[in-house]
Amino acid sequence: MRTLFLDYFAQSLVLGLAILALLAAAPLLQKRYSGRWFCRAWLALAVLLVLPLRAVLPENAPATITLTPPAALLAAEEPSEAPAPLTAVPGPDTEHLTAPGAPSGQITVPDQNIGQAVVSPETDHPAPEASEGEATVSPSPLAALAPLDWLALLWLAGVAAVAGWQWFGYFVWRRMALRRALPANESWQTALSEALARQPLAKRPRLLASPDVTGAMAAGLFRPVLLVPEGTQPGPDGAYLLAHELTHLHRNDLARKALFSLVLALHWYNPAAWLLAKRAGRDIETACDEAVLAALGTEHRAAYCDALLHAVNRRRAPALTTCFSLTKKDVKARFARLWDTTPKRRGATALAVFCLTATLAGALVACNAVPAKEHSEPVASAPPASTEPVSELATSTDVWPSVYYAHNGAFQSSGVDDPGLLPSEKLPVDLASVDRHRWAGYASPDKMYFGLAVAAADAEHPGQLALWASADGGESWTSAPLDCSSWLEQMAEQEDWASNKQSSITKSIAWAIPKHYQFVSPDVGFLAFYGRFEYGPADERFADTSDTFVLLRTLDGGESWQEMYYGNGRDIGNGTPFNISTSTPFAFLNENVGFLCAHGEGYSENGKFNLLRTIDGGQTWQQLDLGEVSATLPGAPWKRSHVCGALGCSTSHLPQSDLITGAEPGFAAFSAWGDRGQTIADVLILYTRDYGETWQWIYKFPEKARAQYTASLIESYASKDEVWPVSYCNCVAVEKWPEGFEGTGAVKAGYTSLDGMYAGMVPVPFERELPTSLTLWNTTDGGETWTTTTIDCSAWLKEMTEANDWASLEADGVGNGSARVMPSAYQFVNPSTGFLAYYGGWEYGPTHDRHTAYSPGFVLLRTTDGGETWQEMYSGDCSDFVGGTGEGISLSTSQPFLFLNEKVGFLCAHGGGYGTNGKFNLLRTVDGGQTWQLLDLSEVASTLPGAPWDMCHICGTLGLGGTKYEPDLFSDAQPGFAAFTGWGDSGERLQFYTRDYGESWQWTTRTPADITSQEGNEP
Amino acid sequence: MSELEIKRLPDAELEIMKELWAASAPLTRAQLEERLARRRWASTTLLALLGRLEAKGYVAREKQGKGYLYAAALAREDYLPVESRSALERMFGGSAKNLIAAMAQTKDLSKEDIDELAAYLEELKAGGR
Repeated sequence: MRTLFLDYFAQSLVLGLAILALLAAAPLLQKRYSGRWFCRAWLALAVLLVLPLRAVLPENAPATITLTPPAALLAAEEPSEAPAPLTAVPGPDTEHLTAPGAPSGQITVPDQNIGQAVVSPETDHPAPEASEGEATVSPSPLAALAPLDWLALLWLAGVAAVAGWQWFGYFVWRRMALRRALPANESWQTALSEALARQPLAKRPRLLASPDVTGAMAAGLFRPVLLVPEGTQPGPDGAYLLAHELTHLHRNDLARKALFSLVLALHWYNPAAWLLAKRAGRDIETACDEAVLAALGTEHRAAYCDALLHAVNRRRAPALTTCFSLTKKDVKARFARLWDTTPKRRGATALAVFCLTATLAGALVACNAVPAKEHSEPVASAPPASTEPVSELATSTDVWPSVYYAHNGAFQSSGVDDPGLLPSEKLPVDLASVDRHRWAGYASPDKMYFGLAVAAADAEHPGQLALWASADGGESWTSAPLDCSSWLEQMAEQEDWASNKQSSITKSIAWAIPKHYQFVSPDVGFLAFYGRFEYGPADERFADTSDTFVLLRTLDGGESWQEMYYGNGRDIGNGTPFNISTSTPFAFLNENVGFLCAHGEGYSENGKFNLLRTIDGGQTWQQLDLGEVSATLPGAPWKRSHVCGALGCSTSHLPQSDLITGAEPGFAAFSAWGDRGQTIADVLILYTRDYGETWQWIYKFPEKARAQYTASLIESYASKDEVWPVSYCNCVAVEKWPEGFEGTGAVKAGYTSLDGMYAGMVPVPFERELPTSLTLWNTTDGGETWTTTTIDCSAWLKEMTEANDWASLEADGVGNGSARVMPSAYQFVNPSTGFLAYYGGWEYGPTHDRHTAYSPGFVLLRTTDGGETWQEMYSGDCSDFVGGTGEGISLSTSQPFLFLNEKVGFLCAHGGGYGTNGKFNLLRTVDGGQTWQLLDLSEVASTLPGAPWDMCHICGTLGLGGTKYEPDLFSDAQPGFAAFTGWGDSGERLQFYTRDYGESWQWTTRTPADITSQEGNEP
Repeated sequence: MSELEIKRLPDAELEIMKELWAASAPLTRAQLEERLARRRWASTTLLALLGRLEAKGYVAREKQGKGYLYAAALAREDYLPVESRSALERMFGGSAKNLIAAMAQTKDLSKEDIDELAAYLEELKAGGR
C-alpha cells in the first residue's frame, strides 16, 4: 500500500504541475486550439494520473532523481492552492509545451534544480533514533505503523471516501430516478427519433420522463438512458437538447467523466486534480457544443445557445451524468467559445508534445520514487508484519540469544564431563535439599547473570518465593521475596482447596511452585508458577496441585512484576486445559516473544506440534503451524508430533555443537519427537532462528552418537546363542521323509537347517475330519528318524468360534460348519529355539462349495528347549501392533513369518490396511513375538525405482530352497540377515533385505537363480 | 387505497406498472409484451408478474374478446411516495433532487445570473452577426 501511495504521490506531484501549467496557458492556447484539443489533453493527463506508471513501465529506468515524496506530501497537503514548494519546483510551463526535452531535462538534473525544491532524504524521514524506537516490538499492529504508513492509510481512506461519495451517490440517484421515471411521451420519442436520424448512435438509448430531473440529461456508462423532465413537451429547445445529449453519448463523455472521477478519488489531496476535473468538465461541454454545431450547422447557433440558457439553470446532477455543474463564469465562457469563430488548429503536434512531456515526467518520477524509497526503507521503521515479521518481533534492546535453563542441567552436574555451571558451594541455596520441582533458574550465556526462584512458603508465608540473583558469576547473591499469596488465594477459591483446609487434617501450606524463571536480559524476565496445596500430618502429607498457572513479567530487573497470564490454558491455544508441570515448558526470546510447549489433549495430533507462541509478552498465545517443517520430518507425516521442552545452552552432544551457544536473537530450540519416538535416537531438535516464523530440525544426537546407539541396539537384538544365519524356508530339504507319510497330508509350514540335519514340518492331513490339533514332525539327523509332537488347539478354536460367532455364518441353510486350525509358520533358529504360529478358520457350506472364515489374529508359540515345551508368546487379533492399522491380518498367505533368533522376528502383514500410503507392511518383534511394531522403511522406500510408491507390499519371506533361492543374496549371510520379496506401484518385484536385524534395509531386483542380481541400492 | 398498505414493488413489477401508467388506455398482453420487449421476458413471466400485481390489487383486468385488457388500479401518485420510504432514499429526504443538491459542487445560478447570461448572449448574437 505504501508503495502504491508513493507511486501515485509522485505522479500526482509532477502531473499536478503539468495541469497547473496547462491551466495557466489555457487562455492563450484556447485562441489557437479547439475544445476538443483541451479535452484530449485533459484526458491524457487523467490517464497518466490513473495508471500506476511504475507498474506499467520497465523497472530499469535510470535512478537519477532524488525526489522524495514524503516531504513534499506535507507541502502538498496544505490547503493553499499553490503551495510554496510546488511553485519553487521547476516544472513544465507553457514554453515546455513546445520544447519536449526541457521539462524532463530539468527534472532529471538532481543537484541544480531539485535540490532546492525537495527536502533531502535525511531530513524527510524519521530520525534513525526515532525509527529504532518504532522498530521495537509492540503488541499492537497499529503501533508498528510508520508515519508513512499512516499517510498511506489516510490516503486510502480519502480515496474510498471520494470515490464512495461520487459513485455511491450516483448509483443511489440513478436507482431512484429510474424507478420513478416513466417511458417518455410520444412527442419526446419522436423528437429523439429525429435527433437520431441526424446523429445516429449504435443503439437507441431509452428515453424516460423523470420527476427528478429538470433538464435533459444522459446517464449510465454501459446502458445509457436519456432522462427528460416529466410532464414536459420537447418544444423548440427539445431538439437541441437531445442533440447535445446524443453528442455526449457519441463522444463517450460519460466514460471520460468516470475517468475524471477516478482521478479525483486517487488524487483527492491534490488541488490540481480538482482544478483538472472542473476545467475538463467545462471543456467537455465546449467540445460537445462544437460537435453539435458542426453537425447542425452554424445557423442554429443562436437557437442552440438559447436552448442552453433555458436549460442551464435547471441542470444539477451527480457526477457520471452528462450534466456538469457549471458556474456563471463557466457558462459565459462556453457561450464565448460558441461564438468564437476564429479558425482553430487541430494542434496534433502540440498535443503530442504535451502528452509526451507529461508522460516522461510522470514516468521518470514514478520510476525514481522507488529507488529513493528503497534507499530509505531500512531507516524508516518496522515494515508491515506480513512482509518482514522478524524485525517486528525483534526488540531494540539487547537480549541474550539463549540462556542456560536450570533443568537442562545448568545448575546440577549431569555427569563426570559436565560439573554443572556452578559448584554447589557458590549456590545460595543447597539445591540438593530442595525438591527438584520446587525451584527454577537460568544463567546468561556468559555465565555472569544467574537467577534462582525457590519455593519458600511456610504456614506464615503462603505462596512465598525467594528470588535469588547474581550478576557476577555467582560470587555474590541477593535475595528478594515475592509474595504470590494473592494468586494462590484466587486458585484456592476456584479449585475449592478450602474444603480440605477445613477438614480435620490441618497444617496446610499453600505453595507457589516456580516452574520457569528466565531473564532474557538483565532487566527483562519471566516467572511462571503454579499452586500446590499441602495438608495433613507431617508423616503423611496430601497435596492438591492447581490446574491454573501464572505468568509474570518484569521489565525492571525484578523490581516489579506484572501478571501476563492467569489461567489453565483453556482460553489459549486449542481450548483444552494443560499444565506446565513438565520440564522447561517455556522459552522467552525477548519481552514480547515466547514459546510454550502445551502438554494438553489434542495438541500433538494431525501433524501439529503442541507449540504455542506469544508475541505480546504472554498475554495471548497461538498454536504455531509447523506444517512445512513437519512434512520434512523423517517418516513424515507423523500422527503425533510432540515438543517436550525448551533446550538451552547446556544441551550437550549436539550434532552442531554451537547450535545453541552460537545462536543469535530470535533463536529458540525444543526437544521433539513423534511417531518414531520409541527410540531416543529419534529425538529431534526443532529450532527457529526468526522468532518462530520458520523452523528447521536436526537429530538431537550427533551422527556418531546415533550410530553408536544403533549399534548398541543391534547388539541387543543379537542372540547370545548360536543361530543358523539362514535356513531353508518352508522347505523340507532332507534325504529321507518319514515312512508312510507320503499321501497323508500337505506340508503347510516347515524348515530345514543349512546343513540339512535339522528339519521340521507341520502337515495338514488330507483326511476329511477338520483338524483341531497340529502335529509337529521333527528330525535332527537329516530324516533318518522322525519324532512327532501334537499341539492341541481345540480349546483355542472353541474360544475363537465363540468370539467371532462363526456359527452365525451358517444361516440360510448353509450349514455343516466346523472349526479348524491352520499352521502358518514352523521354524527353528537353532536346535533348541523354535517358533510355531497358527491361526484358525471356520469351514461351512456344502461339500462341493466350502466357505472359510479365518480368525483375525494368530497364536505364536516359542520353545527354547528343542520343542519339549512351548510358551505362548502372542495370542490376539493384531490390533495391538505398534504403528499398525489396528485391524486383523491374513495369515493364509505363504511364509509371512521369519525368525532370526529367540528375540527377533518379522511378519509380513497382508490385508488389514497394511502396505498402503507409502508404508511397507512389515512388522518386527524384538521380544520373541510378544509385541510387534510396524517398521519404518521410508529410507529404503525413497530409493526405490519410481519412488515414491503408494502401495508398498512385502509378499513373504525369502529363504533357501525352492524357486526363490537367490545364491548371491544368501552367500555371506550372517546372523541378523533377513530377506523378503516385495513389490509396489511399479509392479516390479524386488528383494528387500537387512543385515542388522531390520535396522537398515537394502533392495535388489529379483532375478532367477542363475543370473546375478543387476540393480540395487546396496552401498 | 391508503399509503400504508402499499408495498414497494420489485423492479420487474414496477416496470409493468410504469408501462401501464404511461399508457393512455388499458393495454393487452401483446401490447405490454411489445413495450417490455427490452426485458426479454417469456410470456409466462409477464403473465406471472401480472398475476402477482393483480393479486396485490395494483392491476385490474377486463375480458376483451379472447384476451384481457390490463390497466393500473393503483395511481402513480399514490405509489411514488412509497419509493421514498427506503432507508437509502430517506437519507436524502426521499428526493433525488435533494440528493443532487447535496452532491452538486456549485450552487444554483440566481435569477440575476441568468439575466446576466442572457444579456451576454444577446451581446454575442449582435456581435456575431
